[in-house]
Amino acid sequence: MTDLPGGPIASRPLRFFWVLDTSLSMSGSKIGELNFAIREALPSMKSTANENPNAQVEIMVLTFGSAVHWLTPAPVPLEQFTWTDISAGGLTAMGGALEEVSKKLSPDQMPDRGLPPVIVLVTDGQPTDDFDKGLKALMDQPWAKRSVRLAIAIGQDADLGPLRRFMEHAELQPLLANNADTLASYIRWATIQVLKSASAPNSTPAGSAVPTSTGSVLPAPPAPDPNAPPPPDVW
Amino acid sequence: MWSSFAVALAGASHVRGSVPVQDDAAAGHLDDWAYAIVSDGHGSEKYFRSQIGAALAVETLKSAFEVFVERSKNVNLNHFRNPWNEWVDRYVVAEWNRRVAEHLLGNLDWDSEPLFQRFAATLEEAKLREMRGEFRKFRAIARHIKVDQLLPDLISHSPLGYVQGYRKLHASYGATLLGVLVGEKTVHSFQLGDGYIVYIPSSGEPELLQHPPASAMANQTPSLCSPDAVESAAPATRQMRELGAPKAFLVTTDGVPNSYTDFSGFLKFCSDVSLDPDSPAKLPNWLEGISQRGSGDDVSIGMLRQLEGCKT
Repeated sequence: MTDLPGGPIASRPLRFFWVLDTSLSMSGSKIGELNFAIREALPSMKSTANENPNAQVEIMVLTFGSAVHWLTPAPVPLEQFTWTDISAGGLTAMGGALEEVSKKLSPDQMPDRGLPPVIVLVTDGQPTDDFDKGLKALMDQPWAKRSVRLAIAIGQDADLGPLRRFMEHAELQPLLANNADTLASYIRWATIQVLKSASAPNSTPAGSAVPTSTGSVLPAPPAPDPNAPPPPDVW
Repeated sequence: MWSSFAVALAGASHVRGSVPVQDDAAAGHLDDWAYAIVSDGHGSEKYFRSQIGAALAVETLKSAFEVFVERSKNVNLNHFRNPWNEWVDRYVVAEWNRRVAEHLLGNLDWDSEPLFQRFAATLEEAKLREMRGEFRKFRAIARHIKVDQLLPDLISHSPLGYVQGYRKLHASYGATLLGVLVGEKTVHSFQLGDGYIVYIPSSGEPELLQHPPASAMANQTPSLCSPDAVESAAPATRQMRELGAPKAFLVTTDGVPNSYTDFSGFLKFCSDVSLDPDSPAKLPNWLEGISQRGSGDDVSIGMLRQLEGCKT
């Protein structure tokens, strides 16, 4: 546009990372429901993003089994993003996954004026590699320190300790999804409410502990419905 | 002589959400000096008084400029190694804290404020109950104390139960602050938080008068409400002759540079605005357009230009 002074103007980029466990224990209904939940959440995620024309949401998807694999080697604008089903097999290279995400958060990979990135980690197990090394590599990145980090644990076998350390959140705990409905509601929350909060231009004091729900950077996650019938399937 | 101009406008996202502008700006003259100041209130619900914090911040830096100008008339500043840098950081932070404390004690009815109600609506019930309890404790004490008893350095040693409430209320005023004071031979500036101070040399490209803090990224910024505010403050003094006889100075909050796809586009904005004689009249519309198509954030600018050919 030439009617405004200065160079080209555009909305601010917001990188949204899915980091998804595809280890063998995810096979069957867990991976199926995860595929379904993300696919179902996408239209709402797109309409949420459309409500805020000042943020350009870009998606990156990383899976980890015995090895890590980018489904999106480069960021994909949300409006062009479509979900491709993932399948399960192998070990749980969660540390390697975080190390891989750290590379994408290095200053030369991130846009200077970007909004805080969102990283959503979904797993049903515990790391089988060097988690500490991966977490350190991630948290050494200034963009990671300022990111909104969420963990969704699928089923009772998920090890919440590493997930708490990944989130390093004063108030919010990893979200425990024991059935398909809860998983779907947490995925919806992450793709709608969290995205909405992270894409606001408001600032926060640097060095203040990680974003907290009282800072409204993260809204409260959905509470289980006490009147809901017992879930048909429990993981 | 310098012409001066300042404007602070609500950003597109605040307009959509019916939230008032939380930036503030001022520009003017003090004797033979000219100044421009902007402040960016943090804006999210937790900082429900940050528009007041930003206004208090602008008044505070203006008062620092006034003190400095007055002092420079009465004292030979050449006797001091750096009369601005050695003093202003502590003055600004202490004075902003005093003004916040004064405002807080005079305005204890936050429950009825729309922005507080928005904040309360974001909290889970247990958190809200806990916070209201802390605020009640603070209010019960606050009705019986004076401003000097509410300053952070005193309250940090206080055993009283109202400290938590006070800290959250104090933080609700959080804001950044940056400004420039231009004299015949020297330029003094102050920056606490994100935003840019730019000068336009008489020949050549726009340049930064000082660099913003490295910790300012991804919406995080040093802030007046932080415990380490004095350490985060960056005062600077430059000689006019070093700056290539500048024809303009601009200070902006981060909503403007964050709207440009690259930094050179923002510097071109500074150059374009400084060169257009009618820019003060055009800037409100320009800034509205920049926020709409760009960051969506509040947008503020303070500008000083050599008077020749410029409209104030």
